Amino acid sequence: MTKKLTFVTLFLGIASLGYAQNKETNDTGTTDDVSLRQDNAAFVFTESQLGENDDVTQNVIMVNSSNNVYTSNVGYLFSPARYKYRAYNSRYNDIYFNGVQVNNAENGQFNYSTIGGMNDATRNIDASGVFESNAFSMANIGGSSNYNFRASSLPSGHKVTLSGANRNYTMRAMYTFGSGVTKRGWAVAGTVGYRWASLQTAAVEGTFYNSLSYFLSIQKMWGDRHSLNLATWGNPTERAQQGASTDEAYWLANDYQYNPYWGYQGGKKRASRVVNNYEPTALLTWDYKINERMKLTTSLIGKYAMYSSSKLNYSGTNPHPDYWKRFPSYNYNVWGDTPPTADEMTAWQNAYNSWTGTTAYRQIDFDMLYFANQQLNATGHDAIYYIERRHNDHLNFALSSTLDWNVSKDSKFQSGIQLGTNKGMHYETMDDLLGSEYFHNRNTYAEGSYADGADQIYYDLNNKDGLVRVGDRFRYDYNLMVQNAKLWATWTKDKGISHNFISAKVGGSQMWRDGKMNNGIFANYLDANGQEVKLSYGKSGKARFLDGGFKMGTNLNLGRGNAISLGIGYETRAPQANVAFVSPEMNNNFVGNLVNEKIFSSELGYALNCKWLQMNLTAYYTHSYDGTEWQQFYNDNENSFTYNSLFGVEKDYYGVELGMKFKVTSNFNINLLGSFAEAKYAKDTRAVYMLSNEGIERSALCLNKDMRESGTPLAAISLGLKYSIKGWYFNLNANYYDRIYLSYSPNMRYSVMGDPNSNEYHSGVADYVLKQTGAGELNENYQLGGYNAEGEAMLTSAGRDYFAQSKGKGGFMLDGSIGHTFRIRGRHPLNINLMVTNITNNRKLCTGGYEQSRSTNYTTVEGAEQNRTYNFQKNPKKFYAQGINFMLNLNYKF
Amino acid sequence: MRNYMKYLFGLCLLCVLSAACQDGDWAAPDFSEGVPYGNNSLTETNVITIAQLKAMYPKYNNTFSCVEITDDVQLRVRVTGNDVQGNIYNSIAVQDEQGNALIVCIAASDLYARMPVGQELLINLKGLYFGCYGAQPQLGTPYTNAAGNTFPSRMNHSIWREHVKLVGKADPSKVVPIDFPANPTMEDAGKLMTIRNVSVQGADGKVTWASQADAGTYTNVQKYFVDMSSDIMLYTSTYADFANTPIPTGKMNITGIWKVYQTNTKYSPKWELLIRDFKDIEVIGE
Repeated sequence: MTKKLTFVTLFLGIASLGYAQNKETNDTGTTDDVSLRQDNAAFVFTESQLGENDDVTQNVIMVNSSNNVYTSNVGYLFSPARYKYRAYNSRYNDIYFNGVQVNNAENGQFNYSTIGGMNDATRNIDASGVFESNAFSMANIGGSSNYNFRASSLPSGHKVTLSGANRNYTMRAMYTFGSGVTKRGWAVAGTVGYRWASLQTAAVEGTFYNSLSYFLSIQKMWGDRHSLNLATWGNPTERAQQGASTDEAYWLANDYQYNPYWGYQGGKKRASRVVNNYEPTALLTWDYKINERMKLTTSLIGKYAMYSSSKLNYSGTNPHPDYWKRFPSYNYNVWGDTPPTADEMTAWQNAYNSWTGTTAYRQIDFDMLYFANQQLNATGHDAIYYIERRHNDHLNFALSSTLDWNVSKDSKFQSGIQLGTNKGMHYETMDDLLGSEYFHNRNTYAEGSYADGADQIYYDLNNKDGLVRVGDRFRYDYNLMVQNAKLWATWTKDKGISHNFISAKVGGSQMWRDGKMNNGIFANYLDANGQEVKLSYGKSGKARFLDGGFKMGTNLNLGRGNAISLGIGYETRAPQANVAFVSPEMNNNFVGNLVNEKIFSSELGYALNCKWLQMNLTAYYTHSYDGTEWQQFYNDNENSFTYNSLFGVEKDYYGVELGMKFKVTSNFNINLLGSFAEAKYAKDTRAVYMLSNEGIERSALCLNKDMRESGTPLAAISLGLKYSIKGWYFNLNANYYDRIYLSYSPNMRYSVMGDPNSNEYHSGVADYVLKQTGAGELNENYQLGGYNAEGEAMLTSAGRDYFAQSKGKGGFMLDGSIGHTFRIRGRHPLNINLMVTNITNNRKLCTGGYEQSRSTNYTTVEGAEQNRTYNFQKNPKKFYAQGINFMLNLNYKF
Repeated sequence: MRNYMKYLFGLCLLCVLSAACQDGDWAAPDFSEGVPYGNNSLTETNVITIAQLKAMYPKYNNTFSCVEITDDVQLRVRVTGNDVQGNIYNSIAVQDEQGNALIVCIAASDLYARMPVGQELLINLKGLYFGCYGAQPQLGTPYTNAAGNTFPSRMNHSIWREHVKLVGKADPSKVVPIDFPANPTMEDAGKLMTIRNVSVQGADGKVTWASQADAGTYTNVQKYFVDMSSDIMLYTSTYADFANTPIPTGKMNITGIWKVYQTNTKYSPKWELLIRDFKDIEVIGE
């Protein structure tokens, strides 16, 4: 085992240059099978449209540490259920390209779709488990991966791939070439690809996919000491999104892939949410072999990322087809015990008939939106329906330099420095005025709350009355600047039966906002000294953080293929810029109590490696505290956007993972994988929230103790069979997923802390509910009466039950693939592979979703508490797994 | 090497050419065959005036009444008031060529984006209900309130869309208010009228048209005119866009829909002025 681990460590250590000699020599089924499975994983990861943030298409972690049966298989195997490794947010997974870190500087996450469609260029991944040393970093708690984009590491020759699928795209074509290393030390490799689906062919109605990918890498080597590589890539992509909806909508549409985001315009299908994404990137890498034991890898990356997503917005009646007032269950309480009156039943039936009668009724009526805007135009009024486009652009530069030093045959020192600067440009533009000519940059949510013409109703006092035309910026416009530096080092030492490492890092970062609009609610003003106080326009103050941490691990080879491993780590992490501001769209204010998050992580593993069985059993425990989270949503209750910050977030992650690979015969394997994880808030959390129509920061306690991480099965098990014979290979995997939680709504769990007559008192949704149910200790002001020493609300178990998180239904899924490699003219391999996912067509498997943030109960102007007929808490929005679907791949090498 | 580059360049070009934008510019839909609102199959037959309607269904004439229209008759009217700034709720005001008025009650928001002021409507009356709420003539569907009074109230939006056809394009210039008479009669109920040279009691430059504080547990605020009868009032919703705008202190000409409210003929009718739009307020001096 020691030998193996040493080998792995050495392999990782010399990866930077070692990869240069890699060749994809194996043209038989096995390698292609692996690469096709990676394709499948990459497909699901990159194209899935469920994510907590719009520009992170999937909040996933691709773990692929090759010396662990579980982690090397779990990524692609569980991807149809959108499995997240240990349920971590993907900011806990670091991605590197040729040694330089490329996670988004603002949210810490990596968007896999930015390298989609260039699959052959992204196969050389050096993946590091949580407690494994590596040549490029101190591994993050969700692991770290380094992609090798050097030209010499791509296989030489030509390869053409053609694919057909009934998934998010219908067709894919890719061409890859590699020159290998010429006698003069040059290597060139590149790939171009195109992925396509139209509104007529996409598996999910109302979506399309249009993506070109290119990658070009040129390398020059001077002897075996120096190498310079320039790689550039990008994939301009245009794709339409799918929206989650309620079970009632899926039932009425008789389709678990019902998509409310599209509609008809002039009889043609039109998507309302279209993402445009293009991140042209250039990466320059210098490999320097200082001597036989010491190597230095230096990379400089620069990119200009352009991401935008459109959305149908409105200041009038909600035009979305799955707006709650359109549902049959709006008409009477279908969850209650009281039978409906005749009128209610008629209204229910009418709504049912409309929903089930025509497709058009279930979709957006663009014609009506145009008509309404045209009618308004005729009388000089602003459009009330329009398509806006939210932009998140980034200009990013990062530099890294990594030293890899084989100190002796059993010890190694690796160290590196990372420097990065990022300018995030966030703004909204007008995409389509839907037939109108008029639109003003006014805060329609605030109109009515202030006097006509008051400053507060203008989003930008520097340009109050200008007309907003297509392409113009409106509503918000600001830049976030983030700069960071990090130094890390790892010492690896083998001694006796043990292989040990210790890693440490220290870093510093600073961030600030630079507002481009003088928001009327947060207008800049002159203080008593005549100094301008920049509430929204201009630069905010700078927030600076110093963070760092360490981790250490040991592997003990107990002999006879038995080994145990142990790892512990502690680190502090500066808050991400995307959660550091209360409302970056409106003002320059940082969240109060903005401090480093602290994370303790640990892992205990057992490995068995014998002739017929390879097994890994791992238990882990991670505890984080002082975290900060942020979210915004449109709050129907308040007719305004609500910005929510949670601080002092404390979470526990723990679980067990099992991977077993039985070698029954040389060509027949049985794999068993299982994971049982827990990932939840350890206590109730303090919150600050702000409504966009008033701009006051209000405090609350969010009753989110025991809320689980969402959008991933927390329990999953898989039994897989692999068989290969005479160039044919067969895979069959039976997977079962369970404990799938939906993203909880903090707003629905707010308990107001403080005097109800103060401005703190606004929307203590939880308090009202508890008063109604008698499930919490409430005082005469309907507030929670008590908190324990930990600041947790004194709730009865019934109270906790009332706020239990919504769940999705788990289930069984059978996936299979079959492939064969033919030899054309006895020489060139032609590989054909068919992957079929969800063979049993289980369409009721929930893959995620979110609770609605609107309360069912509300307070009338008279102060009475009432319940709406429609029950939002019973109607979370969900996504379901696609039914049986396939992907056919042909690739030919010449 | 040159060959590779040739292949690559060729493929790049091919892909770029084939990768045309899928979400291109969308042209506005063509509504020449009929607008996507209302019942385009309606044709003008048996068009009557509001006065004729009142004559055909005399039972409407009560403080609270509700009569089903059973005759196959139609009205051709023009929209004079709607919910453009949230002060008029779930209803539109219409007048016919003779200048007579009605309130049409519809359970829908943003009616102003479908039926702006100046829009001509053809209404198929058969099956709708005609009557009075507090003596104000209305069209709608029956509703009985807690006091036991039945009157035409907000009809389901789908019912309304079946009964209405939009005629031509909205022409706001055809909607001209008349002056509020010194002695209004029931025939004036629901009309667009201007009251001239008035100032509002309590207006001090700070008091607003309809603050929630003034409304208390209600959603409307009544304001009275200086030196005028308390039977004539401004009736403003706290949901109006101008609700929190201060009332000018000086003299004004104010235009709006004048609704009558009379629960019993023993009492004199109240005249409530509903401002449609902030532009209805014309300040003429201190």
